[in-house]
Amino acid sequence: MLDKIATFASKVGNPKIIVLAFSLLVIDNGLFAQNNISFHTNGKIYLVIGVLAAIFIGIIGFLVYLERKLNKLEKQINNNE
Amino acid sequence: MTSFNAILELIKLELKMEWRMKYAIAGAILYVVTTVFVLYTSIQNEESTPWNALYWMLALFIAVNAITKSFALNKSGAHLYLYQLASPIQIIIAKTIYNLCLVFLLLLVSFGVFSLFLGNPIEQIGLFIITLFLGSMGLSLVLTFVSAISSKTANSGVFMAILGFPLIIPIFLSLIKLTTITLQSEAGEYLSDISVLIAIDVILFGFVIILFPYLWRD
Amino acid sequence: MKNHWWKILAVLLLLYAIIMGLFVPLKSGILGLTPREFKTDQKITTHVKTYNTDFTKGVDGSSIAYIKINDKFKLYADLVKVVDKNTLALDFTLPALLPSIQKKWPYTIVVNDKKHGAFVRPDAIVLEQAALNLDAAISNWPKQIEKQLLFPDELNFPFRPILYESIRNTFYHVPLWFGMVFLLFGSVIYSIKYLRKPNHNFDYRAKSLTSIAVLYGMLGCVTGAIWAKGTWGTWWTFEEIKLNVSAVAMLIYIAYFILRSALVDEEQRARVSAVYSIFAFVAVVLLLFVVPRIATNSLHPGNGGNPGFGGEDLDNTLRMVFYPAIIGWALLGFWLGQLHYRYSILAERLNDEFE
Repeated sequence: MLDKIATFASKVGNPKIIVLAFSLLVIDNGLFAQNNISFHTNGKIYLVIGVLAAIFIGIIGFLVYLERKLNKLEKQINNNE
Repeated sequence: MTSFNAILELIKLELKMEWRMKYAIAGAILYVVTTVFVLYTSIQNEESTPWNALYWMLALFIAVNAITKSFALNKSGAHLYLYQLASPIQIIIAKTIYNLCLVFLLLLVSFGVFSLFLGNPIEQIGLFIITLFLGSMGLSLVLTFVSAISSKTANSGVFMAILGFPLIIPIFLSLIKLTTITLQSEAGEYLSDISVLIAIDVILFGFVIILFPYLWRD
Repeated sequence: MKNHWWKILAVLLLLYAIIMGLFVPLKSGILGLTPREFKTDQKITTHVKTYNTDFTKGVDGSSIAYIKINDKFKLYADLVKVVDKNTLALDFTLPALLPSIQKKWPYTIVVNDKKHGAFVRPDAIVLEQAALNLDAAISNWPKQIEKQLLFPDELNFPFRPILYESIRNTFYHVPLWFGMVFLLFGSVIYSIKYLRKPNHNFDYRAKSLTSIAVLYGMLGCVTGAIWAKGTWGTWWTFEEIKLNVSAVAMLIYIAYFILRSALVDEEQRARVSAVYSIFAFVAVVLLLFVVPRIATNSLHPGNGGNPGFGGEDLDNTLRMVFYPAIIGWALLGFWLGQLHYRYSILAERLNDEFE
């Protein structure tokens, strides 16, 4: 799939996409190619990525919640001054 | 048309009121979830038969209904005087013992009615009576304590269920397990299960005694 | 800085858990044999498909393979050929009789070389013998030279069928539950402190720790569902007791928050919820001990017939990352809890001032 992205990027010619595709290719080669697997084989590494992403989203969600409460607090202080 | 609008407005108002008391909605949802969950665990349990699951589910609702009112304070003079005289520990022990007797009696009666309508699959009556007793002990311990907590809220009926049902699940599961043993004709390995149930009752009793004085303060 | 050392520790431990957890490679493993069923008394060739291997480099013909009939009897391959990076062709000469009391039975296969070490797959090859004769099988068993297994000196996580790379979730999913229990325990400590000395700060601390514990519990459910979907093939199963226990624990603690919002008087709310929180923790601990006794089978390790953590399921390399990960996630939870607590204190003080 990554090869497809790379060819697509070179066709589109957008430098950002090329950089992205290139970095993905580097990660792909460095991390997975040595083991001769990718996301799509039965390595199931996508489960680890999914779990880490879920935890990340959960913690970010908590931070957003806390920030909104702090915003309210700040507004309260400003109104009362 | 105007009357229709008025009805609509009233519904809106009702919704708004409900929304302002968010905990009431959350409580209602949790009530549904918890009840269905307890039902599910009793049916899904591999060892249980329909008779067994139904009986204990019924027992749970009977116990909740019998115990809910035990802290709805009766503010008449005699009660108040007695309450001020006794220590909180004496009060909770008295209430728990009373509820134990009540629940045990009700469970015996419902066992009789159950056997009348659904047949009696119990082979070891003695062991079953012991199970009933230990079960009503656990149920009355937890539910009396929970009713003390939920009497502090405006909506004690809902809180009986959402606080009580999840806390009751360990007892509930051991009861179902023990009852399946009484369904077999020869005495199986039941001592360990009975001791687990007794251990749960004793631990819960200890914590109720320690914690209740803090609830009783006001 | 003096009071923040544990936050630095949390970051370092989590970094360690993430880097080690993602970069340490998996041990090589056997995916399967084709074909895998044979009748005895013939020469056979079977192809072994392996995972995370490269036989074309650095193996130098050191490969051996054998079928393990039982603890005493092994049948070595006559020839091990490299087909491609991940495939070996094994030639066996199967004798007519096997020293086994089973007519048709799946046996373990073991492959070893100096680069990848030993990989074992139970129930990999099915052999069917025409007749059963234990004594004749033992006396006619071919004489073979015992070969030494070679183990390379490398750090690897174990290879498990079905799990594959997702075994790394041991460091991200499981510690959430451990962290939740630690956080709840912390909350119980503050509840006890509040009952002994009614100070609002204790109540706020208990509440904040419980919120983070519930967050961890929910994340534990979500990550568990993702992992289960990829391995057991279902998001959630009620037949799994650990899931039931976690669901009940969630119900108990959601009820805690609803109870709090239903109590108006501040002092009463703090007191009643402290009492409930202690009682609830006792119930959750009871639940953890009672329910597993009732469940007869489980997919999780440590219940029913499955071996427990600390037995075969958690080898030393996993442990090396797992324990630091638990401490790291728990400390992160306490950090988040502290932030939440500091917010609540500020909000309360402001409300008092402006009223």
